[in-house]
Amino acid sequence: MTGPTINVAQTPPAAEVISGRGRFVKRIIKQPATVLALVYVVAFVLIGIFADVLAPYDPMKQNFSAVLETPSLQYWLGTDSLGRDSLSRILHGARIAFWASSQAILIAVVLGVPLGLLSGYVGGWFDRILMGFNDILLSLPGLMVAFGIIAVIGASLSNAMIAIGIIFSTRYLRLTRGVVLAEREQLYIAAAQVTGVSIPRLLFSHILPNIASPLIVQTSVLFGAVILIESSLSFLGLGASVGIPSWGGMLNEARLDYARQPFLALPPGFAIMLTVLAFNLLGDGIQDALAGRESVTDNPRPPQPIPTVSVVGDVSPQHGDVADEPKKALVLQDLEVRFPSLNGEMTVVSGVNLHLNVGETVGLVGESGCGKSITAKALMGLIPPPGRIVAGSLKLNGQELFGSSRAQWQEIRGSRIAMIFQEPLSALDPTYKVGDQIAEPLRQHDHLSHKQALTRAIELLDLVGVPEPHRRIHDYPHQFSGGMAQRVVIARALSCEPDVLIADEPTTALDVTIQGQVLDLLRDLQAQFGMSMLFITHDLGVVADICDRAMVMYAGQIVESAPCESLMLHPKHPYTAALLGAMPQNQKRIGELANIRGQVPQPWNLPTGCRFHPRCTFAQELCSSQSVALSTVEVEHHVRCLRAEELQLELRQ
Amino acid sequence: MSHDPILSLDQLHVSFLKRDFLGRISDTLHAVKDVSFEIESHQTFGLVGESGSGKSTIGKAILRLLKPERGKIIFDGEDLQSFGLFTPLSYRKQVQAVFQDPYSSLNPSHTVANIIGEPLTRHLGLSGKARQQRVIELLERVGLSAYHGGRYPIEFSGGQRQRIAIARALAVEPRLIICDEAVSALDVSTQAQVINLLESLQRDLAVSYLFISHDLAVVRHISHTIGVMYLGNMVELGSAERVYERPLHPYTEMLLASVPLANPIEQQKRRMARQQMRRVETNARKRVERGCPFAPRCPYVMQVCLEQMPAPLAVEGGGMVRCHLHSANGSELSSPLESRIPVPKKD
Repeated sequence: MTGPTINVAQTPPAAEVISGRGRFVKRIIKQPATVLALVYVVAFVLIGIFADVLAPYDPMKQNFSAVLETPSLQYWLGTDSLGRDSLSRILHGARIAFWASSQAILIAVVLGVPLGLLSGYVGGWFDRILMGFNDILLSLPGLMVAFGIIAVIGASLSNAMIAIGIIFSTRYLRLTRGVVLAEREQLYIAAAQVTGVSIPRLLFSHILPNIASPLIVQTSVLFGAVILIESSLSFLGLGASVGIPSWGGMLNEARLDYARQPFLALPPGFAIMLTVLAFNLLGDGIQDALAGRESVTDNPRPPQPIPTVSVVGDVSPQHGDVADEPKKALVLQDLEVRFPSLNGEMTVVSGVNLHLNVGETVGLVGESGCGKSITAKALMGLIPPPGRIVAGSLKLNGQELFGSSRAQWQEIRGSRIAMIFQEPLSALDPTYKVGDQIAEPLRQHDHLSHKQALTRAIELLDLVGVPEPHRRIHDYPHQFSGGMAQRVVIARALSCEPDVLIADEPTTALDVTIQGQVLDLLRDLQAQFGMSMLFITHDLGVVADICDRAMVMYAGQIVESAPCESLMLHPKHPYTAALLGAMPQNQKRIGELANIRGQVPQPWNLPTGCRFHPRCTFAQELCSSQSVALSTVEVEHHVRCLRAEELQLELRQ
Repeated sequence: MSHDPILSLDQLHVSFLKRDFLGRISDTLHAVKDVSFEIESHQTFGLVGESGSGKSTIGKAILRLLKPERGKIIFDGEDLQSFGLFTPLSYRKQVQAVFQDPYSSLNPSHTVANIIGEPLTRHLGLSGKARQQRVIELLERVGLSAYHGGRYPIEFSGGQRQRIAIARALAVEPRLIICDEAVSALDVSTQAQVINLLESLQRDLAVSYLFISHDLAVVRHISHTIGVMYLGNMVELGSAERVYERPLHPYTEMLLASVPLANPIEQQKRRMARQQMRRVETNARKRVERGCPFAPRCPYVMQVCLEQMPAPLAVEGGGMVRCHLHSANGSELSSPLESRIPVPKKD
């Protein structure tokens, strides 16, 4: 074998992956107002282009036999004081509005976007000087500057639009620079630099497509604004030359003849209003669709009901020896969690049974996407909608929790089941002092006064090993290092002395020497409080360090469960053995690492039979056809494998 | 060891300036302090350290994504300082990179074929059929298929994306690839696949790697030589074997002892050792201004450690260590660390 002929599992078929663009169109279609606005805008543009063909009369042609007429079959929108057809003038006015606005927007884009790209990318003095100028221009009222420029270079629509284009370029500059600053942190920029991509290509081919969306939104909104300004200027006689049909000019003429024919003001007035409105609505709609928001009324799904629960009887494997069974703090049975997908609901977690004895630490191990975090969230009653628990029972000290109301869960969470997370700094609110954050659950659940709670917070911080706790309760989260912040999170989780602590990858984001400290701390605290702990991690080394028992999850199922020693020294499931083999355990540089071919299957694409069989080196025909149950091979050692009894899994040490 | 470095760093120093709102320098952060090492041709140099140790900064300086304050970076006999403001394409062609986060290191609006093809056009002037042919070759080399070329990064898993990033780095047949935490974001099974791929590419294409990682286990597996970083300083340097089997610096020792093993019996022993070490460590929490940066956490700290930074000391068989424990008598270096360290006081 020369190259790694790894069999990379295929990505799901195209039909199941909606491209970003497809999703965007879908979201747009779900917004009726946006669709309507889009239709209007398209019509506006077409009218602007084809006004000559569409208009029933020459807009300049005067007919003194039909002056100031009200709408009729011959003149749909009536005529003005010179007998010119209003409809034809409105249609031609659209042309003026469209071309003039396009001109201004084009100038604004051509000036603003490249300068913004450069300013954001280059930074430094260039950026500071340019933004200084930009801020000055932005602080001037647009219409006034347009007046000024017209005064200097003479009144014409074209001049006015150049002026407005220059003023509006500042908006593009500022927006572009802002998004470039954010985008510059993305690694693909560094990757392109390393490739040797030239700066213009980097700006226009790499960065621009990724920041196009906010620019499109901006353009839509600005189009409306320019049309308004064009109309204002024409109304004042500073825009389109007198006689040329423009909406603003028509409005001005209507003003003169208001007493004789009040209807005359309505067509241009409505044309301006509707057009500006349509552009603004379209901009908002695009923005919402890009952000993934959908208006609530468009969502056919009713608010989530409390999960339907089918409580299953006690079918724990070691049902026989009830007498000297250790006391169980938490029992989860037959958990099944589903999430909606394009082809109906998909089951993300199924048939998960687990229990925590009092004072015990159980590890839940698996790779990303195996369902371990969803299981943890279910234990906290925190499955994010639209996901739902379809079956299962969760008992905390004998009390059923699934089916509890929101208020009941709030009472349980934080006081009887607590949780700590992977990123300690994002688990803390940056705007509150840590002392108040630790005190909060105490005040809510134990009804302590503010002072009592703070005193307790100091005790807790001292307990978790934060030096000078009386001083540090007044500090904000950003003043703590990662390891110290995780200690604060642990202190908060322990504040109400919970029965069960769920730790979701609590040491993954920490440095390895700090990880050891936090593991030692959790171990000490557990002994002190007598609580049970569910430790979720992908690192079998961490499990070996802190857990008594461990369960391995794969594709939404538990595939092996055993005491740590038994699980890691004598694994019975090929997946567990493969995971252990794939860890580069301080191995010398000899040969290849054992790897598991392919990838974790997606929940919408689960294999039949044993879910691991396509990647398993020991798979037989039966494995792909027959679904496998969890069976007991030794005391407390359960395996989901048809060949568990016969396989001798060798571990490379 | 044949001495044929492709890249050498000589007293590299990188600092970041913090400015106040008037643009005046208010604070200086020394991210990398006078670091020197060499990467041998066709070999892997592993750079380990915890967050904030300056290991990624070194990678960025080599890639010319930031400017060092002083010190030299010499690639294939050429001093990078001589390049001036712009980096010549010839250097870009020879030094490539694979970054940590496979999600943000690929441009979401470009197809895979474009991502891999861009350096081909830029450096080799390939286009049309020839370019397409080479893209397919590269895709297959990293374990993907030709039809993946038309897709966008969003359609791939983390491991597959990292393969695409590797294919892009390989496209112009570079001589050195900087792998900055290249496998850290991947799951264990995928991580092993990517490590094996990197190793097989080195065998076939004779490429050198600078492998930057916080994961000691991974670094040991992939590296020939290892440098250990602590707060901007390189505290130990040596062959992978020697550093892991016989760590000379107390920090290296602590790092190695901290990696949890997936073996409950072994891990219990390590835990005991770790707790023992910590008991000493917590007694010595002080800030040091001048001395060894590791002194406040060091179980073997002496008075001299708080006063003066130890100089690099050559180790028998290559490499160096910066620690006062060894500076009294260099010839003792061949004996194991434990026999010479003063037994930590217990109180």
